[in-house]
Amino acid sequence: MTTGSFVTSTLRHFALLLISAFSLLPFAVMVSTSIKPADEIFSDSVRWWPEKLALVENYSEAFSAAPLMLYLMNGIIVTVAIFFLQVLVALPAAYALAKLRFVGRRVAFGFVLFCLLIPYHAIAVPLFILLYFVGLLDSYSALVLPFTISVFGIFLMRQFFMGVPDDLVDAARMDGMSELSIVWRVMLPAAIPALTAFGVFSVVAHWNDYFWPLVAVSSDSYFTPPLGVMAFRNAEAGNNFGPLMAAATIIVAPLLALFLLAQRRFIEGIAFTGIK
Amino acid sequence: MAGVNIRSVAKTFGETQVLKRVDLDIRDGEFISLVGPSGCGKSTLLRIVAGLEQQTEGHILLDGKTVDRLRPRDRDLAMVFQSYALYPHLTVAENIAVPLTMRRLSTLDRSLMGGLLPAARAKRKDIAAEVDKVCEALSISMLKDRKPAALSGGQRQRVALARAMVRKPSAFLMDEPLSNLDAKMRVQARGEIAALHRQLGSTFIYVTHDQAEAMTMSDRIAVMMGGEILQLDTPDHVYQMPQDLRVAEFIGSPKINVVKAMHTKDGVLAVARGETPGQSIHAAFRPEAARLAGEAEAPLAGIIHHVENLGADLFVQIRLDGGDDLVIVRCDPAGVRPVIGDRTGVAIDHARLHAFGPDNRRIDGSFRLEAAQ
Ligand SMILES: Nc1ncnc2c1ncn2[C@@H]1O[C@H](COP(=O)(O)OP(=O)(O)OP(=O)(O)O)[C@@H](O)[C@H]1O
Ligand SMILES: [Mg+2]
Repeated sequence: MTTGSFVTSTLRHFALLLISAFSLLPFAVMVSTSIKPADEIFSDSVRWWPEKLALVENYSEAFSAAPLMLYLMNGIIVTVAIFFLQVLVALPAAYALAKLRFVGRRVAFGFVLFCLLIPYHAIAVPLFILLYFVGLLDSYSALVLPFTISVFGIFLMRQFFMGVPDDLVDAARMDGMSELSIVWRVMLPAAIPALTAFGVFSVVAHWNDYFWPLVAVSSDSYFTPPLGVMAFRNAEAGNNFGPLMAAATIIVAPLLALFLLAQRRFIEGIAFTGIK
Repeated sequence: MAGVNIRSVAKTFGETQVLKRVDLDIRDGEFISLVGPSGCGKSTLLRIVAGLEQQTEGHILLDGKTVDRLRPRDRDLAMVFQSYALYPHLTVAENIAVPLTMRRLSTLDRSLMGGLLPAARAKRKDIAAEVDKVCEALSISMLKDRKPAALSGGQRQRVALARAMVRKPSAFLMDEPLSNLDAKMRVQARGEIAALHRQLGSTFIYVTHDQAEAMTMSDRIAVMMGGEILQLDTPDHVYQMPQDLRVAEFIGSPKINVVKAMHTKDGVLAVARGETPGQSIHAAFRPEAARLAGEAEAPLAGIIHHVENLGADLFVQIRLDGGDDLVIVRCDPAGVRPVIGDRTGVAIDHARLHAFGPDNRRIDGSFRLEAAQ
């Protein structure tokens, strides 16, 4: 390695470190606050490690003050259901857009790209009214159904499928597979990296979603984790930040675990589909 | 077992016509090669026979019955692809089993439940036995548990062949299955495929742009160019009696020599010099139909431009007088070695001289080539 490239690489890593420190800071504050007793949180001196550790108190308070386990369960049910249905829709659609020749294919793909531009908040009101008339408000269906068709998922998988050789599809046809069998038996196994990437995007987005659950459900038996945290703040506990931050930490932890597990595949998937 | 009949099949992609009313009758058990330069429509024709592509016009008959409306899976054909197209997530044994599992097992049998059904278990056992037999026949038994990524090109080619064979289809379609192998492997695989054909006795349709593959394996060769079949004949006839100048030029290595000539009197062609008044004729002869000779007795003369020594053969390139035309003459390396830069004449065995008209079609009859007046 020449000295020039050593210097640039050092600079680059320094810059990257700075950026990651910046984005990690709120997490560090969250974790640090979650183990402090109330009087230390509001003291005027900043310290990362508390003088008197309140870990057990805060975390047990977090679990007892609100049905946190229920919220976590709801979060899992909703995100898993959404991801499962998204895959069920996106894979066949992406296969058709990538590998089948039919009239209107370009137009259909154009619509997919167009829909990518619409943020779902923009159609939240019509969705709400629709669900109201169907009578599905305040249920798991209200949390899941609006997200079953993910144009982002269709787009991502279509890009990935474009790279799967046509010969493989033709070989499957010769071997006697129906088009749907090709989707599930040939394309799906080939698409695991891309699916993992999509899964991370989807799960993170819907686990963290605050807006739609707030609109769609009102009874707290359907609350997802972000709503749960907020309910927490409004509860009698008042401004008890220790347990609040403990709850927040508990809610973020599954996401971190998921990301660390899927990290390699996630990066592969992104690199594969050429979306970088 | 089945014969394949292609009845005036045409194919257009948008504006471009890729196949122009192709007719081809393939007998049951025959090994036919479709050979031609890149882009002439060989793969397209094969894919139409397979049902992977729909023809714009014409019909495909298998065993005498029209199959135009049948999907690929219902045509009882197997195809080997140039890229082998093995399923990357399945092991070799699973890959080979796919055509059988997809046809014999119901959706229920294939589901996770299938393991519990005695009937499905019995079927799976039969399939495994058949896969074993095919692996045995192609000596790939030791590779059965590997994934395709862990195989060499030659091994992948065998697995692709095994996957095609396992179902005992009525005909095999092969699209340049050897073109991803190195030269030595190719010669070996050539022999193996020919042996396989003799042993199975099935119909083979084999697409290649390598005329050596076509010559060595086929019962008959169909030479395609520009979306047409120019000649359909045995390898011997295609080589010795080309019906079209383009066939003559495509088949044979080194290429056949072509000189422009004038038809002066009956059966006599005079070598044309420069601009030719009236219609010219192409006189063609293969390198082995010519020999180096004294200038006086030979119709062609020129300067030795290059000598290629291939060990068994010596190919001498001669630049003809009055132009840049090169002709190639095969010599015996045991004889006198020609010297680059020397003048020489080229004598021709007139029994093996071909004449082609301005439309490239063969002109029948016996001809002599004479020096320009
Ligand atoms: N799906 C398609 N859409 C448009 N044109 C096509 C399509 N498939 C093939 N063609 C065109 O048809 C012509 C014949 O293609 P084909 O693949 O049959 O050639 P080939 O003889 O197999 O050549 P090669 O030896 O290179 O494989 C080519 O000019 C090709 O560009
Ligand atoms: Mg081809």
